[in-house]
Amino acid sequence: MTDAIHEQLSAFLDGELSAAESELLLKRVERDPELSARLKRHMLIGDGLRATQAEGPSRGFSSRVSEALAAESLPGRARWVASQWLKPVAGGAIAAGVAAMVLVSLRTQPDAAGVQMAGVGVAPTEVVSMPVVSSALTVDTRVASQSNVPATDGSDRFVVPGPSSNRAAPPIRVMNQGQLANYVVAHSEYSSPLGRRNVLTGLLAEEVDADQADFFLLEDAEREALQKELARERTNLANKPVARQNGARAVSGR
Amino acid sequence: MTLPFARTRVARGARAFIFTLAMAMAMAMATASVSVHAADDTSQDARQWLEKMSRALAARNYDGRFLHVVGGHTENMRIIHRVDSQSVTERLISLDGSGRELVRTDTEVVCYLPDRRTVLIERRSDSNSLLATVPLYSEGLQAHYIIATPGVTRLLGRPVQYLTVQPRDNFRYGYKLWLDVETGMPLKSQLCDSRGRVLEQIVFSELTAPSSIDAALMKSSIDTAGFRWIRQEARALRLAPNTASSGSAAGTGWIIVNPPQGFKLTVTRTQTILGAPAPVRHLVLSDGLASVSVFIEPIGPPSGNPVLGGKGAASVATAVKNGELLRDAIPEFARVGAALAYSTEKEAHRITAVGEVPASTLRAITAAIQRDMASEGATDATTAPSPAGGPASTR
Repeated sequence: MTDAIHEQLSAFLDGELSAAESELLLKRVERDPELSARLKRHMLIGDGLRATQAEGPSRGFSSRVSEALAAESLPGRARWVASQWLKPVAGGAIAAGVAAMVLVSLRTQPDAAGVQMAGVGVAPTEVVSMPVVSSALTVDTRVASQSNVPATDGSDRFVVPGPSSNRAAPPIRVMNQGQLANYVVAHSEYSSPLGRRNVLTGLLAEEVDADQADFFLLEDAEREALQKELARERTNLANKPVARQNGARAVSGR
Repeated sequence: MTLPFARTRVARGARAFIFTLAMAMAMAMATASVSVHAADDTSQDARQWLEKMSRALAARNYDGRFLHVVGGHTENMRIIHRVDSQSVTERLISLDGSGRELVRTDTEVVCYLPDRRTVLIERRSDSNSLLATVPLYSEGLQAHYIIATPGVTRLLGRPVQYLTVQPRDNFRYGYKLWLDVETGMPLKSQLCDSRGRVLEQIVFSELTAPSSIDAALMKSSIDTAGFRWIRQEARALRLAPNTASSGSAAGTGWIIVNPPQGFKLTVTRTQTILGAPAPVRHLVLSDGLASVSVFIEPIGPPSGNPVLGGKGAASVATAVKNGELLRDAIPEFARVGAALAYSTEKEAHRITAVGEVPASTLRAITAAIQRDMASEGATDATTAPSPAGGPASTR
C-alpha cells in the first residue's frame, strides 16, 4: 500500500478530506479488503491511545457540561467531520453524569423544554459510540493539508502563509480580558451578526482562569507552550514567594 | 432523518458494531457533503436560511434567556431585542456571574461593568444601523465554507432547521446552527473549529417574540453611582472608497501582505480611543463570515503607553497595577468569549488583532500587516477600499 493512500486514510479519519475525495476513498475501501483492514486498524490505534488522552489536563466541571451540551441532539448525518469521532469515551461517560445536572439547572427556568432535556440525556450514548483517533495522526494531517491549500485567492496580494508549525512557538502571555473591552466593542460592530453575538456575549461573561479557559481556544502547539509557561510560573511562585509580583503577572493579569 | 435509529442501536452497546457504524456514518456524511457540491440548490437553500436568521436577529422583537458555554464556563444570560419605527435597541444581561450588561443602539454601545465599577461607552458617528448590517451570504462564501442543511429536528418543542457552516481550512471557525423553522431565530448555535469541536455555544432555554417590547425594559437596571464613566469618542472616519487600492490599506501607511486565504480588507477607519496618543487605525478583514479587526497605534511615551488595552476602559487600574509587565514586546494573547486578541509590536507601533478566529489566523494577519514604504510619511487619511464590493464578494 502506498504512502499516499495511508495519508489519505489519516486525513479522512481527521475529516480533512474533501467530500469528493472521501467518496472516492470510501469506494476504494469497499473494494479493497486490505485498505478496509487498514482503516479499521487506524481506528483501533486511536482506541488504544484513548487512555493516554484521558490523562491529559484535567477538565473542569463546566467544560464537561459543555461537552454534554455539545453532544446533544445532533442530526446524525450532519456531523460534519469524521473527527467528531475524536471525543474520548471517558469524556462521554462523565458527560452523562453532568448532563443530569444541566437538566436540573435548566429546570429552574420556566418552560425549559423537556424535549431539549431529553436530548441532552441521550447524547452521551452517541459519544461513546465514536471511535477515537490518535492526536498524533491529527497533527500530521493538518500540516499536510495546510500546505495543500491553493496558493492564491484570485489576487496576488492574498496568498496563504506557510504552515506556522515550522516556527518555534513564541512566548505567550495571557492578558486579562477586561483590558480589551475597548478593542472588542469596536471590533464587534464589524462582526457578522453571529460573530457579534458571540463576541458581545463573551464580553459579559465572567472572567475565568487563564489556566482553563484560554487553553481551550489555542492551537495545539500554543496550548503546549502555554501549559509549560504556566507550569514555570507555578514553580516560580512556589520557589520564590518574594518574587511573587513578577510571577503572578502572566497567569491572571489582575 | 435516520439518526434516531442509529443512536438507539448504539445505545444497546454493541461495541462490535462500532466499525460498521462508523463506516456507515462516514458514507452518509460523504454522501451528504457530496450532494452539497452537486446540487447548488442545497447550498442556496442553506444561504437563504442564513439570511433568514440574520434578518430575524436584526429585525424582530425578541426576549430570551440562554446558556452561554465557553471554555469550560457556563453562564445564564438574557437578551432583549426591540425594534420600532425609529430605532433598534438590544440589551444583553449576564444573569449570574459578572452581572454585566450591555445596551446597544444605532449610535452607541454602552457596557456596564459593575465588577469593575465602570461604564464604557463607545459612540459611533458613522451610520451603522443595526438593521443595515444584515449581510448577504453570497456564493463566495462557498469558497471557504461548506454550508449545508442536513435536516430538521426539534428544540424547545419547536421544529428547527439544523444548518452547518463548515470551514474548508483551519484559518476560520464554523457554526452549527439550530434555526427555528418558523422565524429563523437561532435557538442554539455552536462555534466550532475546523474539525467540528465545539468552542462556544449559546443555547436558549426560553425565547419569546412579542409584538412590542416596553422601552423601559431596554434600560440598564444597574445602579452606577460612583462608577467611572469612560466615553470612548470613537469618531470613526470612513472616507470615500479608493478603488485604486484593491485590498491594500493604502493611504494608511500600512499594507497587507499575504493574509490568510480569503481574508480581504473590507473597512479602514480611524478611531480615537481615550488615552491613545494618536488616532488608532482600525482595519477590518473578512472572509464574508468571519472578521478580524486590526488596530494599529504608535507606541507613545511611557505614560499612557498604548500597550494592549492599556488605555481607558476597564483597563486603567489593571494597567497601572501591572504596568511594568505590559511593556515588553512579547506577543500577547487574550480571550474574550470566543474572540481572541493577539498583540505585538512592529515598526514602533503596536498591532492588535481581534476576531472570532483561530489564534494562528490572528498571528498570520498580524504578520501580514506591514509598513508601506511607498506611502511613508503619509498622513492619517484613511480610505475604505472595499474590493469588488466587500466581504460578500469573491470570485
